Amino acid sequence: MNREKLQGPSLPTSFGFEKEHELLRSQARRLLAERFDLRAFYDKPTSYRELYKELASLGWLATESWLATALLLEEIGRVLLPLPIAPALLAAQALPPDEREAVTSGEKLATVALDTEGPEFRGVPWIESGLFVAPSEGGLFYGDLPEVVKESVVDRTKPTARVSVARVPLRARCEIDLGAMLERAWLLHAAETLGAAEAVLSMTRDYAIERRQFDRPIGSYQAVSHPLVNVMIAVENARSLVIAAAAALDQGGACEVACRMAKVAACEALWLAANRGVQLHGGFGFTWECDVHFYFRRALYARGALGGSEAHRRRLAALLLDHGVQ
Amino acid sequence: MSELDAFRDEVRSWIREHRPAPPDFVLPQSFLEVETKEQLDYLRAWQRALFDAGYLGYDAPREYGGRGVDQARHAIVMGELARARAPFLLNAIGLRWVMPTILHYGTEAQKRFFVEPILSAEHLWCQGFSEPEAGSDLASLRARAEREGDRYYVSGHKVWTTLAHFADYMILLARTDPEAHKYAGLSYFLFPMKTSGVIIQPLVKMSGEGGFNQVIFDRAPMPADALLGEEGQGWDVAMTTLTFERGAAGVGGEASAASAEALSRLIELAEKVGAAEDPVFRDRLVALWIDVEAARQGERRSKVAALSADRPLALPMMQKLVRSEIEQRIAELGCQLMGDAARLSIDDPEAPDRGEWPRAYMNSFGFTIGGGTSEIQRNLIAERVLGLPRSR
Repeated sequence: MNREKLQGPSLPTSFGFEKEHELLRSQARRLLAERFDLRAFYDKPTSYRELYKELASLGWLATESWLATALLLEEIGRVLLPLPIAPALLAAQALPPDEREAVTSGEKLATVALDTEGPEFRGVPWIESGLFVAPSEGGLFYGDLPEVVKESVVDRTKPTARVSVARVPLRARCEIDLGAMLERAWLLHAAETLGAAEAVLSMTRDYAIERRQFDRPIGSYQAVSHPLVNVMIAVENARSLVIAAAAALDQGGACEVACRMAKVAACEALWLAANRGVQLHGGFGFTWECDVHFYFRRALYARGALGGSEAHRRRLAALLLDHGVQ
Repeated sequence: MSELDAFRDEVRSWIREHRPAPPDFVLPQSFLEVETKEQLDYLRAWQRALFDAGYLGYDAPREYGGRGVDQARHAIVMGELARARAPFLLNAIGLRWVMPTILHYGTEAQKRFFVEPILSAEHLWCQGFSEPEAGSDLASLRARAEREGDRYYVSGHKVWTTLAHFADYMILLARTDPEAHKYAGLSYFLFPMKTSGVIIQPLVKMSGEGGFNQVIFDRAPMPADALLGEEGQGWDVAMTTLTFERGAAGVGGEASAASAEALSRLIELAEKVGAAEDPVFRDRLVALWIDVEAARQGERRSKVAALSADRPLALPMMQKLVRSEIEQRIAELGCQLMGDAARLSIDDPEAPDRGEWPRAYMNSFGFTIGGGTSEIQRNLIAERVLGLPRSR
């Protein structure tokens, strides 16, 4: 009966949150603020390979708790860090121990194709070289990344590539199945997107206080404050669902509904935040000088990647309403 | 099986065996619309039965007639009532708003006198805050309470007063010091309704139902010990009541259970009218489901301080706004699903679901307006959570 489906899984009351998670999050926030400058990256893109290695040495590419990983990804998304952290985390789930070690230590890069079927993959998170995990014949396989064609993208912090495995076949089957991999991918994507949404909310809120017109801060007008409240609600709802999905993954068991919901909620929150963010910044918001467009670009990337909101809702509807759908 | 699971099973089977048979008259959808004596008696008996069975009072200490505070059991009882679609609790104002306020501000004597009769529905409660000229701007209210000897005498005009025509007591906000600043001059009373100088006039709601009143006080007397808290402390006490009314203290999962139940009724309706395969309906239903689940997880997250550390007031202050708007969207989608049958009222025997969807949609505005409108909620969130400048 759909009544049972309507009430999701019961999760631990603390969602598995531990004191050290809080420390991890505040350290991550501080480190990223010190070491990464988004506008400088847009002015002069660099690979940040050293920063990547440093983050790996701090253990950011190994997953012990999905909740802790989600909190980290949120911080990464907040600054739009242009490093392939989520693909490495996902690849590590799929690879055998020796390859996994090379990836989690930061020695080798890795990426994962989950958006399209092969043998021509599109929208693959771009890396210069390394390992490649992709679906094939109903399972997940891995091999060395063949030569790729970089795509021209709107969001420069999310470079993607086209990969053809027609001539360089994937060499071995992974342990993890595609469904489990996708659930993890949705969660990480949601957490990173949530961070971006939070950042737009906070910069728009600051602007609404600082910018004055008719001798008053524009944030004192309800035409400005109420849309901001709506953005905040979308962000808080997304955060609740991201945390719940991470806790569900940590607990094991069925996670498809929780992870899809988190993906939809976070991408919709950023979509709304970016739309209102540009508008509420007024004439400044429409210029290159205002940082909001970096996040607007991320919204365009995030909503469609790993399945658009409509596709996820379509599947959620089937899970809820259609008998015999598992 | 854990102790709590056993308790849930026990409650579930008790409700199955003891719920009253559906009456031969139309029941209201919520405590806001109780209009007739037969509705009143039916609902009062049901709350009384639950109390006698020992299932009410897990939110009140034993020494005052409760079962001892036990959030988990309270949530189970409320969740099971929603799940069983059992009749609602008549004395909702007493249970959800008045009782926690009295437990917070009341004297020992007030707690001993008032708590148990609220649980048993022996005393019905109404709320006298709003006035014709004091709605969203509540603190500008003008009703006066003047002290003379060991009594106060009330004069003034309250409006939109749910259940006043049946209530034994009213939580009454009145001005005791007209010289003081508008917030500082207010006091909060536990006013006995069955007294001289109280005129109750029914108001008809947009749905055509009653249950709503205006109350005119003409030197209506009450004993001095009807004061809750100190004289001049009324605004703080009233804000505490509103905090409970808006669900900021966490409603123990009952709202989640009710929303899930409303969604499940919506799905049944869709199946009945052949819309369950319609992709437009399905997309909108799932969007609602996601919001309901987000509210459910948000309620749980609000209890883990570290998981809302960046914006601790956001979740509690969103509750009422988000819940009331979800309920409204569910009722609205129900009406849209009915297509041309949305024209049929509760009196038409062929109205799908006895016409409950149009009535629910109309009545849903009671919750997006009452207890602080959605617009006021957004102002409060903008100011207190986001730190934006005041909008006035």
